[in-house]
Order: sequence, then C-alpha cells, then structure tokens
Amino acid sequence: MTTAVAHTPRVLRPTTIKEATGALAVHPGARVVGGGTLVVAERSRGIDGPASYLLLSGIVDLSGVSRDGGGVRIGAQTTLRDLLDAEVSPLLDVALRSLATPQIRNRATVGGNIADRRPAHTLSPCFLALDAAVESAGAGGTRRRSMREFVSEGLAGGEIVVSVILPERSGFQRYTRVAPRNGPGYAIASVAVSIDPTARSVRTGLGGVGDSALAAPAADDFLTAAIDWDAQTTTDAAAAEYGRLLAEASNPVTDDRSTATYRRHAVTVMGRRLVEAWTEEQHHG
Amino acid sequence: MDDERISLNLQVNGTAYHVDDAWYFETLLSVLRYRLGLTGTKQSCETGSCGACTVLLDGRPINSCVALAADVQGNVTTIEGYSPADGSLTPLQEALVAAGDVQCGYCLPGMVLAGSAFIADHPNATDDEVREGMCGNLCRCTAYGSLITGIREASKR
Ligand SMILES: Cc1cc2nc3c(=O)[nH]c(=O)nc-3n(C[C@H](O)[C@H](O)[C@H](O)COP(=O)(O)OP(=O)(O)OC[C@H]3O[C@@H](n4cnc5c(N)ncnc54)[C@H](O)[C@@H]3O)c2cc1C
Ligand code: FES
Ligand code: FES
Repeated sequence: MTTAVAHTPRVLRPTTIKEATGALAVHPGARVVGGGTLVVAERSRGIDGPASYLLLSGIVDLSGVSRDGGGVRIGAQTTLRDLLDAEVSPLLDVALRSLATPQIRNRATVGGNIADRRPAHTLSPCFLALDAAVESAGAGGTRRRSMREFVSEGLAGGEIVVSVILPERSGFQRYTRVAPRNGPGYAIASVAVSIDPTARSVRTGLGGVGDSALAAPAADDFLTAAIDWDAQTTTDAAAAEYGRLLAEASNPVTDDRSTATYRRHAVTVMGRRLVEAWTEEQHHG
Repeated sequence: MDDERISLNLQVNGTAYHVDDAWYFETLLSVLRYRLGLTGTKQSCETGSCGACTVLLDGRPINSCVALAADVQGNVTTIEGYSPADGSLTPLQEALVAAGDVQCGYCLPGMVLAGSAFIADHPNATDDEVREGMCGNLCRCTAYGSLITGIREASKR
C-alpha cells in the first residue's frame, strides 16, 4: 500500500495564524522562521539546514506591541528593536541593550528568542520576572499559559508562539547578568527580578543555570514574606538568604562558558545585590 | 532537486531585481554579492557576529548574512546605493577619512551603513553612545579609536 505523503514546498508563506498551524500539521518537517538570525546562522555553522522553511513574516497578526488595560501584548514577530523602542519595562530595556547587536535586534524576534527555551537566551528570565503569560497556537486552536508553565513545558509539536502578555506591574524591576564583557554576547548566568509594592509580590527569573530559564518560587515566597512592605525594607540576612535560595533553585551545568560552581555562586551574589539595590532605591532613590 | 531553486524579487538601491534559480536557503548576502554583483557588501563571519555584511533594510541596519533572501521585503540599501553616484563622499564618509587610520577597509562598508543609521538616531553622540550603538561592527585592524572619532564628529548638528 502506498500512503500519499504531502510534498513540502521549500518555502511556505502563510498569511494567517490558522494557515501557519494548518501548514505545520501537514508539513511537520518545515522549520519555523521568525527573523531567522538563529536558523540561518546555524546553517552557516555547518549544522544541517532544514529541507524547508515556514516564514512567519507575512502574518500581520503576529507583530507589534499593544497596550490594553494595564497590560501589554507583544506579538511573536515583534522585533527586539521594536520592543526596545516601545519602552515597556526598565528591566527589558537593560536586557535588550545587552542582547546581541543593533543589527541582530533589527531582525530577531521575540517569538524566536523564547520558542526553543534555550537556557542562555535573554528574554525568558525577564518574562518570568514580569509574570508574563504566553499565547501559543496549534492545529487544535490557541491556548494561554503562564511563563512559568511555558519554560517547563515548551511548545507542543506544530505549535507556534503567538504573543507574550505582560500584566501591569509597578515598582522595582531589574535585570543583571555576568558575561565575558558588557558588549554583545550571551550571559553566563542572569537574574531578573521585579518587586511590586502594590501587589506585594516578588517574581524572579534565572537564565543560564538550567535546561531552560527557571523560576524560583521558593525564593519568591521567602522574600515576599521577609519584606516589611509598609516600611519597604528587609534585612541583610534576608537578602543573603534570597541569593542562597536562587542557587538552590538552579541546576547549572559545566560547559565551555563556565563551571556549574561559578554559575551557582554568581546567582547567589546577584540575588543578594539585587535586594540590596532595591533597599537602596527605596531609601535613597 | 529542481524545487530547491526559487525566484526572488528584491528592491535594491532603488532598482527592482528579479532573480531566477536562487537556492531556497540562500542568504541576502550571497544574492547581493554573487547574483547581483554588488560586492561592496563584505562577507566575513557569516554568523551575524561581525557586521561586515551590514546593509540597510528600510533604513535599519541588518546582517545580510543571517537574512534569508526569500524572507526579505522592503528596500535594501548597500554601500553602492548609499555612496553618492558622482564619486563624492557623504559627510560621514568625509569624517571617517578625516579621522584617519583606516587600514584594510574591509569593515568600512558595514561600518558606514551602520554608522549612517546610528547618527540619524543619535545627534551629538558621546563616545559611549557610539561604542554601544556600533557594537555590531568589528574592525579586524582595530581602528576603533578613529572610527569612534569619525562617527562622533559626523553626528554633530
Ligand atoms: C551575534 C549574535 C549574538 C546573539 N546574542 C544573543 C543574546 O545575547 N541573547 C539571546 O537571547 N540571543 C542571542 N542571539 C540569538 C538570536 O539572535 C536571538 O535569540 C533571537 O531573538 C532569535 O530570534 P529570531 O526571530 O531571529 O529566531 P529564528 O532564527 O527565526 O528562530 C529561532 C528558533 O525559534 C523558532 N521560532 C521562531 N519564531 C517562532 C514562533 N513564533 N513560534 C515557534 N517557533 C518559533 C525557530 O524555528 C527556531 O528554532 C544572538 C545571535 C547572534 C547571531
Ligand atoms: S558576515 Fe555577516 S555579520 Fe559577519
Ligand atoms: S580597517 Fe581593517 S577591518 Fe577595519
């Protein structure tokens, strides 16, 4: 018996989300292209290129930053440059300026940055700290999950990232990293945190210290309880303990960039310093 | 296989080009240099790291080596299109010449195009702003000092 195998064109150009997910259901081997900065660079590095590409650039519903209510919706095809220009959050501002180069940011997309859950990628820890949600679409329809769920589960086969949704958050928002230099290049380890006095909530995201970006719920709960929200202070011991809990949430590897021990240490120190910076900002800022 | 070849329509330096028989995976850099003969755009790392292949897409600098030609919509400007047709230099190019110390020149087409977009967005730039804004362009001859001076001077209004 012969089964009819759908012939996959080399370049697929869907113009709607439905067309894209429909095409991926029929042509599961097609490689999704956001901006292509990673997909194309991999081919140049000699990694086998895909037999066909599915370009998302023709889908208008995937692009742009819009504000509704207090929240912000970031379409998957929004370029990193456009996200930077939208001035969505002080934390994202610093993170994006450290992310690659102006040329890459003019082309690279938000969806392409988070889709594969690569641990060294910059935006997932930031979106964890901002308590974001991720909207994705597959042949079965659209679903929305918290960023925490997204970083542990990822996309199902044939699914695409549609948007990232940021709820309104006020107060201190910081991104910090250790990297070989200030200029472009992946971080060895990174910590993003937001401390929201209105919601009385702490949210942390860790980069470079696990299989994907990691949340640190135990550290978040600890610091939320250790902060005197009325006085906007906490103790030095609590700052240190928060750093220790971040290391405990980490599961780093030793690779060509760094050792696991150094990564754990870096996260401990960055965590403590971020809480110290928050305290400083409340009382002198 | 035959279907590995596609045709492309590109808008480059104000001219509409139709390219038949391009590979479906071909980069914009490859099409510019080897199919359109626009060799001013330089090929170096081919992984998006060095900026030698910088072109402008609708006025914004991108790395043509990591852009699929099949996925390029908009107006591409290469160094051939940026430079005045009469052989004269733009104020930015003049400033880079005046700052001196251009050595092999391989980084320059990319440096000039990225610099032109940078100075448009950053009037009266400081050295630190130039360093950050131009971090996507490496110079193998390390002429950074004079490149920063030239771009900073060209940003003066
Ligand atoms: C010089 C250089 C420096 C870099 N520095 C950094 C850095 O510091 N931090 C960092 O995070 N990254 C960095 N990168 C990597 C990369 O450029 C970025 O992560 C970028 O955001 C990827 O986006 P893209 O749209 O170009 O991805 P693409 O190459 O288009 O896609 C990347 C992956 O995501 C998939 N994909 C894309 N969009 C979607 C979608 N909507 N739904 C489902 N799957 C999708 C693709 O199939 C592919 O597997 C760097 C790259 C270069 C070349
Ligand atoms: S050749 Fe494109 S960035 Fe180096
Ligand atoms: S002058 Fe030689 S690479 Fe810059």
